Amino acid sequence: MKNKGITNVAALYGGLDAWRALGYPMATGATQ
Amino acid sequence: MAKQTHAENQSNSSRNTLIVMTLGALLVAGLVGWALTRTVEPATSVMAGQEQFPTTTVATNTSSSTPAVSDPNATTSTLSPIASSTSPVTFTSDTAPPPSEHSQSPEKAAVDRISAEDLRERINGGNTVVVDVRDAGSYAQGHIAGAISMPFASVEAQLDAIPKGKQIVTYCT
Repeated sequence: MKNKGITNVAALYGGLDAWRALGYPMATGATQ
Repeated sequence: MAKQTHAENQSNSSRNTLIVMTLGALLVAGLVGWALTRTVEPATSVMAGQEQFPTTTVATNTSSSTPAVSDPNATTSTLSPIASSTSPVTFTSDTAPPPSEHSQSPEKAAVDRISAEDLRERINGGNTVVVDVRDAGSYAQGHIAGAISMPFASVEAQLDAIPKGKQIVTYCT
């Protein structure tokens, strides 16, 4: 896959569950 | 009359010999089969006891069947059956690497991983784009506020939609 200039990429450790467990802001709704 | 009896005795004698030889052959075949089963059983039990290091177990089995040149323990194990049943455990535990080394290395080189606290700070800093790579249905049910949806299967097609010059943080479940 060509990165097309995108190099600064990180991943959230623990995924959405880790985010939700800390009570951080969530949103719902369709695709933006 | 006497000749007939003599001929019958000869016939009976040869038949008895044939029966004895057949029974002997069957007995030998049975013993060989039993011996083969007894030889295979210890090998399978040793392999079953070392499920974590199958490749090293194969090497150990070859060393126990033929005397090893460099390993003094292997030479001892060929002389004593009791030693051969215990020596593979010691041999494999010395040479096999811990399983944790295999499980960590491939994923770590891919991308950096940040904690949820770190991500929140970066979002507040304003130079980070959060990308939800789950499917659209999961995104609609709940996602990080401000995240954009980009299902993993379509990331390559939508790369142009990602703002350039910003840090990208992806997440899934």
